[in-house]
Amino acid sequence: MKINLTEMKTGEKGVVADIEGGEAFIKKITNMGLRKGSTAQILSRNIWCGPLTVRIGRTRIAIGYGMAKKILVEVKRGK
Amino acid sequence: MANKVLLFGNPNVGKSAVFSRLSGARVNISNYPGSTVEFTEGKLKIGSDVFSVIDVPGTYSLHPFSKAEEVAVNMLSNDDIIINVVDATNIERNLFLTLQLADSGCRMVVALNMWDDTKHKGIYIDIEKLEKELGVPVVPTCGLTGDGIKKLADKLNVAKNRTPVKRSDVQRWEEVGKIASSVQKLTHRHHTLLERLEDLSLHPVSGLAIAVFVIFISFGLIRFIGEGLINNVMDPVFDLLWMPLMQKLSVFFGSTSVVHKILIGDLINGSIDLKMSMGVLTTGIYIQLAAILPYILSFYLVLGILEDLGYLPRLAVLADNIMHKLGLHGYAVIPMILSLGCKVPGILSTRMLEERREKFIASALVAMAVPCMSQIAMIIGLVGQKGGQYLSIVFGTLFIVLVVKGILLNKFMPGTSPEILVEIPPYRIPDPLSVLKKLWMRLVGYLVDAMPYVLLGVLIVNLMYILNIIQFLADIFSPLVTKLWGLPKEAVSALLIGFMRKDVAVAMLAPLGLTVKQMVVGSTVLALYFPCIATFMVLLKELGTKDMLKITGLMITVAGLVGFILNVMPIR
Repeated sequence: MKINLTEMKTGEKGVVADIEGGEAFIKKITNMGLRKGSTAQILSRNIWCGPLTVRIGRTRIAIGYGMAKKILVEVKRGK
Repeated sequence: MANKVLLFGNPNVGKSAVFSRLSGARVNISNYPGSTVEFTEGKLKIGSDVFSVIDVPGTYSLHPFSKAEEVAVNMLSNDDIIINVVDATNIERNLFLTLQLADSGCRMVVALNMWDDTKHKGIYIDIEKLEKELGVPVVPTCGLTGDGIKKLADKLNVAKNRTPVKRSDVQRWEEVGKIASSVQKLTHRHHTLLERLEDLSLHPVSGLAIAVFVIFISFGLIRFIGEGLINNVMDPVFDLLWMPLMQKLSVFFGSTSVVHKILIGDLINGSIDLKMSMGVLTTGIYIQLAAILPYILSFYLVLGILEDLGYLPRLAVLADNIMHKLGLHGYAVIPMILSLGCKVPGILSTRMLEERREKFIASALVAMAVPCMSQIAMIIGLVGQKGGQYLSIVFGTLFIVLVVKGILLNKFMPGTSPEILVEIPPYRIPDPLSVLKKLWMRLVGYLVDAMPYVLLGVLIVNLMYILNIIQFLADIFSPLVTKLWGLPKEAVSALLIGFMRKDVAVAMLAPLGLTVKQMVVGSTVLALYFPCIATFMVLLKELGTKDMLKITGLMITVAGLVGFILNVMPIR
């Protein structure tokens, strides 16, 4: 199923399906190593819509909540 | 041959350590024209050739997204030799920039840095194959130990460029993937202790505990080093070398002359007091070099270590949440923590905030509601003897002011605070050489940025005393002080001195026989009402006259209001 990064659970992995938003944002985040097709794992979440930390390969990045909402991932979940 | 050598690389790849190893002892830190982005420059000698080596701000690609990246891209020139520093433990991402550089036809050498880390991370890279794939020389290096740096310098003469290639980013990423999988072999291995800590320090609960611990230890260390330097180095030096000189000058000018008043200041009980005389050459110099500089040194030392360790981005992530409510970005936690030591480095560090709005809010909050170490110590000394509850009123009030002011500024200033998007680097043992080099550059920067202004400020205040302007101001403000804040008229002089030294001003409240409430009001107002001269000058330099005046206006208004509220509160 397709959800955004903020809907993922800590520790869960998903394949980045789409990145919404402006070209600048997409390029910036792509340059940091998060791009379509890469596998993202949530390392930590913060309360009150704080930033999430995500692992992509051997890179870890912290992403603000609003930005994380624009990143869609394909995850496998039971049911 | 006057070629330059430019170090290009992603952020957090140990570029600065490679730079320190390559460049000589003399390094310069400069601002890129028209920006606050700093870069470091040094010299490298190979045989009879002298190259200028430049540590370019870290960038992920040649499409710039921040001012620092823009500067990096603007520095790129085809006449120069590029050293592309690559994190050997993360070539899947790092090689993108490498390909961009190679595709644009730069003359370059790749430094495969953090080479020693690959072994225990279970990564094997075939260097010859990588060289062939990229078409440029590749040298494994370790900035921390200096391994491979000599070889890297030797390779500069054979730095190659390949024929420029035009392709899209998608194609480039595909190519990166292909190269990475063909030259790299991964084996399984166990997590190291540092790696376990990496994840723990990001977790909202354990991360917070670690943050509290780290801040606590850092402050202990900063105080220990700072006070040690003051008591064992700076004070003796000033007593033994500077004082005799000042005494001679004092006799030479005669204690009643105008020159004496300006340069030496007032005699306290018949002799010069370096802390209280308030002359340009006595207190002006002493406070700068003996009281503030040691703290700045210890602060920047600890900060440099935390930076190179890779801890700060984690702290920024944890703080981001709360900081956003105040209109700031997670990184603004650093100026705040720094300012608890001294506001001068605190405000200087707002340079790391990208947007002007953030810089303004952070400076405004820090200037007013974050008391510096020396001031905290004096408040504890004065108010603390009456009981801890009064201390909590003073510091609690300052904290409320910080939060309320942040929320209001965030609400009413146009714009929003940008969201955080940073890489969290792995923990790495800092390289002592680059930590020390960075410390040295920052100390020089502080002395150049702040010292002349503070001396000028002391001079101006002394002239104002001589011309009776201070007395005039005291008469104007005394109704405010007595009516609004309920303080005795004598407190006015303490408030005026507070412009020079806030800690001395708090001390001046002590002999006035104040009630507890007056002490609470006095200490709080002293913290809030006006920046000290060093802060004032740094604000002026960093933000310009207009914003500095805005901040100062805010401070006076808020101090008036808060002092009044405290005064009508039933504090007994």
